[in-house]
Amino acid sequence: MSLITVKNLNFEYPKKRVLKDISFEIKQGSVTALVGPNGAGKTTLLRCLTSLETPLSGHVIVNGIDVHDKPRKAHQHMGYLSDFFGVYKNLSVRQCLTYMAWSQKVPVEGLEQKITDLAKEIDIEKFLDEKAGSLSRGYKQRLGVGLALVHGPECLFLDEPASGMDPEARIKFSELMLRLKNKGMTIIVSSHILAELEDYCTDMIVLRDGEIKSHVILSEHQAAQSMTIQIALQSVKKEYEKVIAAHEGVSEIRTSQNGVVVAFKGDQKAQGAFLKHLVDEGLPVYQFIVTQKTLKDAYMDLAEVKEMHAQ
Amino acid sequence: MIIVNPEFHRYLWLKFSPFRLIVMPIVLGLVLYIASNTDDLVVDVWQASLFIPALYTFFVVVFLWGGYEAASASNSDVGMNTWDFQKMSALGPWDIVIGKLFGSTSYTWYAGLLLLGVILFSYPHLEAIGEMAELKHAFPSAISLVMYLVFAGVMGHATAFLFGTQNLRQKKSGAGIPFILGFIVSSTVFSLTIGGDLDARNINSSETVSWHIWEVSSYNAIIGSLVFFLFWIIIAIQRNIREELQFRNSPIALIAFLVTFSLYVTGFLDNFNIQNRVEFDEMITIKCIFAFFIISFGTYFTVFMEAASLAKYRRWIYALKEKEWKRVFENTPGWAGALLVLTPLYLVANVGTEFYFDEGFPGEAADLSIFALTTAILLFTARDGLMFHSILLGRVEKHKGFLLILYFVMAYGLLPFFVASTIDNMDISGTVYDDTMFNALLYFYPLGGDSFITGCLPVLGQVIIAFVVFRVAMSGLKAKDAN
Repeated sequence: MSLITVKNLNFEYPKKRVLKDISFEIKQGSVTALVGPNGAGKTTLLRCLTSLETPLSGHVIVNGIDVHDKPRKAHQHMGYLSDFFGVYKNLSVRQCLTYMAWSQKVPVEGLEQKITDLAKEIDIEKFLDEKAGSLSRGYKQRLGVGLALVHGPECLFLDEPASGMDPEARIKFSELMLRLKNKGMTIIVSSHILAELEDYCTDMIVLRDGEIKSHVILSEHQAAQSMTIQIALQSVKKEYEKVIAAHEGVSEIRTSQNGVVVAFKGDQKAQGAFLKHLVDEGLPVYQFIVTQKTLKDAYMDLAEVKEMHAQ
Repeated sequence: MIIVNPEFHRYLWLKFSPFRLIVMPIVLGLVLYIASNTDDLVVDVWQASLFIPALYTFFVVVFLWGGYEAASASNSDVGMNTWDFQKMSALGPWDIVIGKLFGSTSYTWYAGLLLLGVILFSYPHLEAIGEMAELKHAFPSAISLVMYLVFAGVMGHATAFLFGTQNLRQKKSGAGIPFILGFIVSSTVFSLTIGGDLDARNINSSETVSWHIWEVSSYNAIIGSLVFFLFWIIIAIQRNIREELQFRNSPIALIAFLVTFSLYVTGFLDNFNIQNRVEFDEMITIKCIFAFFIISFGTYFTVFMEAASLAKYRRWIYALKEKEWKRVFENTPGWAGALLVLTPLYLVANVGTEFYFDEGFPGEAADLSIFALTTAILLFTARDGLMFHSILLGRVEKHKGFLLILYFVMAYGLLPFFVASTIDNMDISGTVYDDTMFNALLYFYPLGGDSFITGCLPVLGQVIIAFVVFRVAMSGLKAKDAN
């Protein structure tokens, strides 16, 4: 079921069209990576989706509400964290969250408990009474997410959320995203750093020159692409290669020091069947390592980046 | 716990603390004590000696300090990058306007209220200061003086905040110019009545002024005027905030402002109708003519302000093409809305003139052709509107501001000056000189002349040229793709 529907969205700055006839749908519960080079229109697209900018034409429907016809009503269903967001430095974390909850018309009854629960969720509980201005970059980012989530929106839009974070903060942030994903939140996140999206994204939209180059469900894309399987064998014999090559889905075989590496196409069930086939045929398998294509690989496949690099 | 306005509450958190609550009365007490004991202000009745220090401290605290706080109210959110959070919240435009306007100035109003208390306390003893007695004529009660000060303060804050929201729309974070403009307004309001030498010479509760068919006291007229302008300033702020929150603003508010402002100004024309020499029906025609002048100025100003709004024009044209009538209305430029009011006024003014003043206006305006004058005003507005759009939306990428100033200087300064100098050097004098000069100036200013041919044809030619320039400037203007 689609939570977000974008139809024929066009946006332009004076004398420059930034988004060109963009249409797509986002399923409820998906986490979509919005990727593309600098100037592709990622931030503008997110700002149009959240009704922070008015497009030239087109419609954005979130949970059945046209966000440009009823922006305030639509905002009840969404949270947004911009790439350069700020916090009220002289207010405590608790005051920041409380103010935002009031601003989002969250019922006052039970609000204190809700704020405490949210602080636990975003792992900022111990700083609740600290001034927001005294927080480190990573905790400030978590507070930012908290401010975007305080009214319990169905979808969350994040623009370059992990930029400027140290590795530890990034890991913590990824964990937070995973928790939100597991709770069923629909998230659209734009980032340059594809590796950080790897852990939690289910879909990917590639944007280039204001146009959508592709919109894929990553699991389907990965299943359609060949993956690498390293099969470690106690002993390597020539006839093993024939047994392996005979199985459906295997396209390439390369012998390595302690076994073989094969290019394989198939879903998890097919992988299981392949392993069973090897064992049934008596191959001395002691390791079976499947290496999926990464988000970066998928991006390179989809974004015509290879073509550009070749030029 | 009842949260009246989250934005206001946020300011209370920021502006108030037990320390700040205590320190303000102490500081004010010291200031008043020192000031009231200076040689110039010491009078027999000590309560009266507090009045002038309290009044001027109020001026500094509320008008100066409060004005700066109001000017910074919206811009600080841009500076701190917190504006997006507010834009994404469920706060409506009114929540933000009220919360910021009164929240940002709350601490200065705390001080202001303490000072108003002192003013109320010392007011009954004003006779002890000779020159202050007049103030009692202007403000018959202490409450009326306090009300006036509060309105003047809010007016200054609202003006500063209004210009701050203009900055907000242009993504600027400076508060200097909004503060100065707000301060000019509040200090003008202050000096009109009780500022300067504190003689309250401009208002007197026993004198009346005519406004349309009513007679009102000068005090009520001033308070009424303050309320009128304050209302529209706050509406203007609300419209700016609405636009920032991505609500679409139709030209309805602008039309309503122009109509009510015309009604407000023309109401005072009755003061010039000495001994009711002009009949009621004739007066309505004269008021319509003045209303036409006011609304045409509003239209001209709006054309100038909106000429750079390419995105809004594109949305308007796009909605027209797609026949999305609701969006057409929402994106209609303000000047187009103003023209809707201007057109019937043009007709009423001209028909009324033909009907009531077919033998000319009384006095010096006897030879004035209203038809030529009103038509010339429309044509000059069209000429300049086309030129503004050609410069601001056209192909020229740089120096648009300079080109605009150059156009104004050439059109209204250098060219008429050059022509006038040439005529001065010609060997003519008397009425021939006067007629030649007047006819020449009709090319440069909307003076009307005595007929359509002399008053309007010269500028009609210029409108045609401006239209050609506009077409050339607009041709090929198409959004380039992102790259």
